[in-house]
Amino acid sequence: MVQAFAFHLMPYKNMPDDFNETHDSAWVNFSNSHFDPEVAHELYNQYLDELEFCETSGFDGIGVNEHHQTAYGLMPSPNVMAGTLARRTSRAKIAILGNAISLHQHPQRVAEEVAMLDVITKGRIISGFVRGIGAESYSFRLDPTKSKDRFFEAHDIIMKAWTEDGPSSYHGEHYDAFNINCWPKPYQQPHPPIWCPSQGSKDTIQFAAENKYTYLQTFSSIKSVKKSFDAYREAAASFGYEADPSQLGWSVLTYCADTDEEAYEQAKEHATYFFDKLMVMPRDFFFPPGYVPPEAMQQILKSKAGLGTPGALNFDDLVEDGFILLGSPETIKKKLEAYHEELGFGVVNMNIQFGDMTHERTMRNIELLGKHVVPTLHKLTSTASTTT
Amino acid sequence: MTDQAETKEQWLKVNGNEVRVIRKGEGPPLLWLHGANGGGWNDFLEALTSHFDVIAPDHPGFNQSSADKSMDTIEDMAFHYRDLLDKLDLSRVHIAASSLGAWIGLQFALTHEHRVLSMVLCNAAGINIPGVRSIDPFSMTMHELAGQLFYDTAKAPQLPPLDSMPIEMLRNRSMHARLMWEKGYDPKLLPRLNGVHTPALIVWGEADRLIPPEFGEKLADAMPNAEFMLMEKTGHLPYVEAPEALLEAVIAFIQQYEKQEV
Repeated sequence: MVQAFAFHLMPYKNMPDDFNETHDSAWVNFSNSHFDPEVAHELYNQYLDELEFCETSGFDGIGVNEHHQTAYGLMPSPNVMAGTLARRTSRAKIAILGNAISLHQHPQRVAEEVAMLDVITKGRIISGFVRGIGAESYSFRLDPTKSKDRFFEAHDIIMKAWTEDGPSSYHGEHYDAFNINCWPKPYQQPHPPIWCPSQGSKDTIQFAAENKYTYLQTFSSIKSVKKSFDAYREAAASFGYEADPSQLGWSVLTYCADTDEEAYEQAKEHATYFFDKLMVMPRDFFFPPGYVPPEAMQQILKSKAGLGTPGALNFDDLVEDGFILLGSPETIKKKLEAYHEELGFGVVNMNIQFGDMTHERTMRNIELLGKHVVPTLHKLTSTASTTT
Repeated sequence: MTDQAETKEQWLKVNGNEVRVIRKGEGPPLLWLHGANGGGWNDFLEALTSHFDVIAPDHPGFNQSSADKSMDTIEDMAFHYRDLLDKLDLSRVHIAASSLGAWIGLQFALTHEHRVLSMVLCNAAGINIPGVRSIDPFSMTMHELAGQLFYDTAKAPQLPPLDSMPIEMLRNRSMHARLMWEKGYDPKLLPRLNGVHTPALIVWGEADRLIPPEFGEKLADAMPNAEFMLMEKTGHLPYVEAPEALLEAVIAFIQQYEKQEV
């Protein structure tokens, strides 16, 4: 069976009409003078209703994430969002995708909060770890050249906090912690499932495979998802085991409407807002100095060409390449079956709202996916361990 | 540029780092500490070689020098220069420096004053004056930053786009970040400099858009044996924008503290 997750970025919708003429970034320095709490109050509550509705509609899990100082997503603390969902849902897993642990001065805080959520929900938490995107190095004045090393150290501290009877200690290059003694401990033993979202970072794939964590490829072409999954399976083999499909997740913008035409037209409208407004930032923000090794920078920048530049990405290409999954229920089912055959994933994480998609359309999207697509995913059995 | 035949490029292993040192000229030893824009050789250094034994290293992590992971503070850089001078068997040197390099020079003088004969520091980074605005080099793109460096903006280098930028420039920016992203200045530097008696010429391009001249005045005031010199129609990089005037100043200043003829 393939597990179906629904994911939300909780974007700010009312960006200025002339945004593209007057701004070159929706991140870091896009002034919060554009933020209207009345608008956001409504958005937050609609978005939370949407995620709660995903549980009712049959999804196995719902997901939130962390971004800072941006209209792109209004969840600086994913644990707060998970907290609001914890008591309003009763069955679905709550996936925090993830906590940006490198950004924390005290990773123990993440260990504590996730453990709280896990105990409250009786073990429904999935704990994702990320290092934070480049733009967040600018928001928090955290040295981008150290973010990867900090990630690994923060991870080690959190795992110590969850799995060792305290007090214990950790003395690293970036973190020096004593009296690690997490109250509460997580409900799930030895710890909640760990997921690692990434756009194909070799280090992340290697790290996830080594620790048997679920690797979740976000916002990528099918070609690139395939490459990452193959790399994961290969890495798993090098660590002496065969990767289970549940260790491979695919995260994709998904829009289902009654007909293919409707789905195409409506998805295009909202994807345009997503790509041409919310994702806009200078490339220096995507890749601050040393965030990736200078020697690899040119190649990485070329592989991400167009990201963050308004008008640079073509919607039809994005659909064709698999960045966006859209259509009638029948079309989406067929596409998913084919992709599943090709990729061998055990988790699909569907971004059920993107851009300025209205509440009504989002609810219809969720309803259709829950009714027609989720049952299909549940019936899929994984055969793919094909590394070509 | 004059004849470069005598330029000696050497590679030195200093602790965990493999560093390039370019050396040329005769006279008293003059250590050049480059800014965040990078090391290597330049016309200004060439002109200095008629008067000095110019020693121009690439800082660890910049240009051709490697840096191990432990190099991440200005203090690390300063201690690196203690060890580099030991390798070169130089007990005392004059220092000329620009921007980030000037901060390294100041930090070096804090702990190794006895090894510094004199210092000429241009548009030094490293201090902060509450309420006086300076530009944070990481609040803007490399391209925007390049546009802020000169009085005459026509002189600003046209950098290639990020995806075709030479790796050396990306390495310089990355190491700059490693040193200064989280610590753009040292609030303890000024009070500590009160006790540094090294003769110092604090040079400042008056049209510096990154660090305004008030910073230089403050710095000169803090150091008991410092003079302040403002250069008109000059931005953040006097050695590029006003090399002749700077050369004259360097020679005149160092001569006062050098027994032999310069």
